[in-house]
Amino acid sequence: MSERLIYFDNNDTTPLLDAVLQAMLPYYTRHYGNPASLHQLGLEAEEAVGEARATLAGFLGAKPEELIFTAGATEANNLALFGAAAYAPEKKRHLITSKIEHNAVMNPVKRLEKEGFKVTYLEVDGQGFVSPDDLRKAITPQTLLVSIVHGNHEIGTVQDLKALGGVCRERGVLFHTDAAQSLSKVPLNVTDDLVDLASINAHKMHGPKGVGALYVRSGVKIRKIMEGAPQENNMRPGTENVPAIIGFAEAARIAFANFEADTKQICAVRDRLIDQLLQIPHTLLNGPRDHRRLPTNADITFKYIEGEAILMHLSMRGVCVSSGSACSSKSLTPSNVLTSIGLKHEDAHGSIRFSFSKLNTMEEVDIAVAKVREVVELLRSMTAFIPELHSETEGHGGGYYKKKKDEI
Amino acid sequence: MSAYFDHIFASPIDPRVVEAMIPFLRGTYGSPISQHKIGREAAAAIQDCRERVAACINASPDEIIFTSGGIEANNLAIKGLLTVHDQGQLIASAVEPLSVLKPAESLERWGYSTSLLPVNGHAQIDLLHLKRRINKFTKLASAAWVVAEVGTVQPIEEIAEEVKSHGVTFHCDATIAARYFLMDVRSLNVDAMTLCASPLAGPPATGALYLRENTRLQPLFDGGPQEMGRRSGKENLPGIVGFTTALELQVAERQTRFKKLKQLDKHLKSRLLEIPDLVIHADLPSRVPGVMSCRVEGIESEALLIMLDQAEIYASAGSPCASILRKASHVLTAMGLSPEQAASSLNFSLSWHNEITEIDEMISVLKPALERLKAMSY
Repeated sequence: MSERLIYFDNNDTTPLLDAVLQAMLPYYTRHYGNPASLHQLGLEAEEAVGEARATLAGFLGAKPEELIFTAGATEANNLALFGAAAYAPEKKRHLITSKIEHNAVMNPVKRLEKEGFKVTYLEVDGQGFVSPDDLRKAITPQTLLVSIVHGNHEIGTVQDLKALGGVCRERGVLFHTDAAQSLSKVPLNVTDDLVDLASINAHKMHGPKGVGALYVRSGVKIRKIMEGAPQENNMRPGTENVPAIIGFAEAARIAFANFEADTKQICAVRDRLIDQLLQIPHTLLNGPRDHRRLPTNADITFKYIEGEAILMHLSMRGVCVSSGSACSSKSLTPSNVLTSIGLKHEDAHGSIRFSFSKLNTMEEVDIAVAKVREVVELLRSMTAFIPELHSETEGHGGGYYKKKKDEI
Repeated sequence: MSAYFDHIFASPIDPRVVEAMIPFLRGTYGSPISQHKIGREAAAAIQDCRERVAACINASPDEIIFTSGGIEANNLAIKGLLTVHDQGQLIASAVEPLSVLKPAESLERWGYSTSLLPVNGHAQIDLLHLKRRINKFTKLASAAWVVAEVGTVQPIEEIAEEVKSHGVTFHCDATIAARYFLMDVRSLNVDAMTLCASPLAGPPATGALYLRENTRLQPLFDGGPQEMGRRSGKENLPGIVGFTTALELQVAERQTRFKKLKQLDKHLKSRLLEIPDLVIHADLPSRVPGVMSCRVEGIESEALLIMLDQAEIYASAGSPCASILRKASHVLTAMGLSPEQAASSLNFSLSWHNEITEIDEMISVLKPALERLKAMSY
């Protein structure tokens, strides 16, 4: 059992590329100056950080001074939301978000709700899309900010930012997007997409952990959430994490240099897995099945069995996947994303996220699919309800499940 | 030959620390929250670090909150410990780091208040002031064990005792103190303590907040359940491993490092005092070795730094924070220095890796540089 692990959990985090590590190492040992120091070593560090900032800003369609480096996307999301809310005038205390946000947006929004903000949680359609019309209707003169995730972490839905951003711009409200999953996976240009605030990070594109950034369109005023020295344009204190910032830019450089080829390969891997898994009876794909899906994501419901059990059995067989979003996988409540697109609780519990990077191969897909088949058959053979006995048409096991439980 | 004397603001990382980090940069890349094999490996690694950090400071593992450094830990402590109360007062000295003073300032708009304790000419807190200021509105007190720029050691045990006798929460920033002292959170009687990897030759942007069990805290960020909900965001596992290793090395080598720093400090001081009109700030017998602030009246330290820089000798004028702000250091002005005096101040912070010869080299550049500057100013 010493075969190599198959890692299909890249929407959670990705392995660091060796080229990125090599770019980072000299900044740990040789160029260790503090960018704020006036001496040569400090200036070198400042220059390196400036170059990294320009690189990343270029890929985003932003100006370098519009990027604030943070310790990650969670901090960036918090900075965007609390930062904008702190400057909210008395009459602008309404926020709009969607029901499928990551906890790093959902939980700060909930805190603001507790502090007296009114919040509208927009419904999504069966594939996870927010409708620009719904958004337009939800905006009131009191609305301060709209926050909609770009690429969904669980079902891979990629929103039409430009359409949503257009509505926000037209109505004069701030538009924030959590782009942690989408940067370097699908096109994103903050200027064209009419975004005011965007959160990004490095570790989902083979960069280091512990670094991210918030794009803040020039002219947009937010208040910092941490105070201290005036680094990052006086928006984020603390000595810059120079090696990680260098790694962030290097990871982006590599990702964007090979964007088309990588995307094609990752999509091929994803589609092969989706096609093969959907051949297993009683399975369904969550989220869209076209170009509006993250290349890195496949989310499949295996009816009548528990996702948690699938995950464990796959892990024992050397395949790493996730059930629910990583940040809620320790809790027992079903994912809010899956129930929002209309899945029943028991189907949401039977869902598995397979997520890919350019390091995955077709061979891995074939091996993984065989193991998934094996595990699904095993688990279904142990379960008390057999869909074939079910009188309803295929697709909904809920009624039968209840009956069986009553019998027991 | 180049010589670097700016170690408390940024320091090269110990090669043993990098070595410990590399397997986690390369290999164990999962997140501790995931339930598959790679995730569980990451969770085990982080738990191991938590236990090792706790052991270094006599805490229990659940009392350790990993952060993106000392600045975040200070912000978390000040905001997080004060805002669990609907209102209240923070007591801190005027020489606390900006990452303590600025969060306190920003809380004022929410109705919280700060009482700033004055310090004497050596940056020391007077316990009498503390006793007089503490009252029923005081919810939190914060004091750095060692004042970063000048190396003054505060009477931290007495401060803790006084604060705790009023039932007030006590936070201590041990960022610099960790380079010198044995840290036992139980005998110190602190409720919260900031630790930072950087002055310990660890990786940048990593650190921790020790938080005594059952102490209520409002997190700075919301999101995932990492760090028991007290600090959301994907754990920086390689950074955490680096911080833990640096802290352990510090605990193991504390005495040899202290001895070396003492020897270097003695030499630096005697060589600096060869310069007429040079004054060392807060030069008490208890000043921690290797952190030295001094001034030569009438000299612009910035000009001096540029001249040193050309000879590849790296020092600083006050904290980097002060240099971005182009403002006199708040520590020096709180000690009673005039803005002009503060502007003529120079900081040397040494590592145990510095050598006597580097100090001599620096002096051989410093002396003629000073002569030239003096000649220009007449």
